[in-house]
Amino acid sequence: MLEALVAGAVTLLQPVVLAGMFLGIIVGLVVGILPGVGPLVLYSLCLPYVYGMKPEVALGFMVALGSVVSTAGPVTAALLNVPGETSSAAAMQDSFPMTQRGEAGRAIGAAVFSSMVGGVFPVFIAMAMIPVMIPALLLFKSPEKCVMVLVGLSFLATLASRSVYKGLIAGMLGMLLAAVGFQDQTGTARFTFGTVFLHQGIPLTALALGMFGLTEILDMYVEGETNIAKSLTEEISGVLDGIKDVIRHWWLCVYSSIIGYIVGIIPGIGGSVASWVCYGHAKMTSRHPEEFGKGAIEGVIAPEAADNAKESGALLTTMAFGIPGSSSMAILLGAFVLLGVTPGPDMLTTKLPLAFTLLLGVAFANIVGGAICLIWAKQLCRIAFVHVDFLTPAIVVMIFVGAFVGTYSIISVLTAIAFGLLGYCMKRLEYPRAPLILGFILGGMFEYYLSISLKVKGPLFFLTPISLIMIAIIIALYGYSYLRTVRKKV
Amino acid sequence: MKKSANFYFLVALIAIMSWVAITSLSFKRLEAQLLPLLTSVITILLAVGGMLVERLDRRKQLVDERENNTWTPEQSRRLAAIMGWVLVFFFAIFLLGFLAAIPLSTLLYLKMRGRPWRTAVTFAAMLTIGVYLVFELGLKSDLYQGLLFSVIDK
Repeated sequence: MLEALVAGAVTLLQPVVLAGMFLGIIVGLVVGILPGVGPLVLYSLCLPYVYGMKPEVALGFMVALGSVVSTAGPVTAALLNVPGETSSAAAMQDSFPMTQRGEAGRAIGAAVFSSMVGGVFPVFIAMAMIPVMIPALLLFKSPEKCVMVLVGLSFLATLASRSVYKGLIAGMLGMLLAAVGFQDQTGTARFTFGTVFLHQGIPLTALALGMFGLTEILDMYVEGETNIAKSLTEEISGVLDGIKDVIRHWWLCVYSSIIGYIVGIIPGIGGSVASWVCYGHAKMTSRHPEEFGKGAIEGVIAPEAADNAKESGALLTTMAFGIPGSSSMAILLGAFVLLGVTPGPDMLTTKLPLAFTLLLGVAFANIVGGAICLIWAKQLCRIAFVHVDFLTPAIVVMIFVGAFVGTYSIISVLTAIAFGLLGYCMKRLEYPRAPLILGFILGGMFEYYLSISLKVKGPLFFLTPISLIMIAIIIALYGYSYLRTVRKKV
Repeated sequence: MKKSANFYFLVALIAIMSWVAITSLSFKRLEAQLLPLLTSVITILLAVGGMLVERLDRRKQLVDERENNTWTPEQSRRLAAIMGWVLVFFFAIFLLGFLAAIPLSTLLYLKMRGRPWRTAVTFAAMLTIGVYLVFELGLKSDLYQGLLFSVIDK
């Protein structure tokens, strides 16, 4: 195994592979900043160009590209409250309020550095886990996945700000919106109003862009604000402070990376779940949960670390089983096949050096991409001080183009506007918007795995060892959180 | 006592969710009914619970009323103006496509805000060129051409 690791590292250091990765990092960073254009769109666009390249160069390029998209996403989220990609929405709950109070540098520093740690640390776990990977993953079947989604849903209540019922209503609305569209299992068209557009369901990109980006624009205009940073201290707080925050909360960063990695290796769960689960967990275990949603640094660190950590997990599953962990990994799987590399157990035996090259590539891309983001952070922060007259049309253009590019349908733009208005009403009435997004992401998955689990194992599907362990962990977490609240009151 | 805005929101929610629950029952398979029925019924219960909580907690009601009173006619005018501009922008995209709608809507917005022509034209042009370079040339995304240009093309 050590020989394979050395061979993988040597391949990575070849000039042509390094050049391919640098190109991937630059493209990934630039595109990651744009809202709505996630790794899925990017992989699809690059797929035709990698045909005919050497596998290690082409796959290195694509892996680097996908890894840094999650590193650049938080920059747009923190500065403009527009999620660069949907998984950035969790950290945005606190990074944007930090920007509003003049701490954009600190927010970006913490987001990017925790992304870096989250991107690098799990690579080593992935390498260490290779021998036990296949038997461990086979233990996760539909009932376990359903319980995992339920664990994610249990965080709905913790995301509520002041009123629990408002948070739960928002979460239920999100789950209901996930039911819109053509249901694959039964072939039933639900709440489509006879339109073809809604057959695919409500596009997540349009929903997130409207709910967060457009809502914030409406609010800024109505309140007559002149720029994003409400506290007009022209001095931008240091990026270094954000890095120090991550070091201070190293345990949270490591813990979230592990959760993100575990969620990443399980096919069909996805990166957004990892971010939200870690956000909810950070809030539950924080000494000051009331600060979450108002600019708590832990609310930035945990989801960003988890978001990047899921990449190496998803990559390992894609390589070892040929089962893509997410839709973007499905395109990467296409690249594997296109380049004549057959994913499967062979990747972890005879083709182990290539697997190591790609895993080390994820770590390399995260370090270089993160460093570039940190160097440019101070310049990027100046956006927060640009007058709202110029920011409004620029952000609305980004939202509309981002919503359109996600589905190539003009109705997506209208969808973003509708959700912008709904988000604004929710903001005025103090309904938290984060649970709606979490409910939307998890609702479809919950329905799918619940339906399979009920068919296969009946109503007691959750009585499996892994499911029971997960349930026990979540009960213990809630118990701990409750006891601490009681102790605080005493 | 004057009802809060949240009260009307919850009433509207209950009405919509009741329709969702009734519609869900019309789906032939139980698997298709499960999620919408479950979520709509839970939402109705939560909304009713929320109304009771608000009614019982008089202090909260007073705070809400005070908050409602902070909504000024000026804010209504601003909301109408920004929503009007957003909708005009959308219809411009629908008719003329992104690359024509972006400069026109940006120009309209900046003039609405009283910016000088030179600044408005320069910024609108820069924004359009940026979108064209990144999305059309860089990412090869075929941005929507608009109904008018599609008809002319045919």
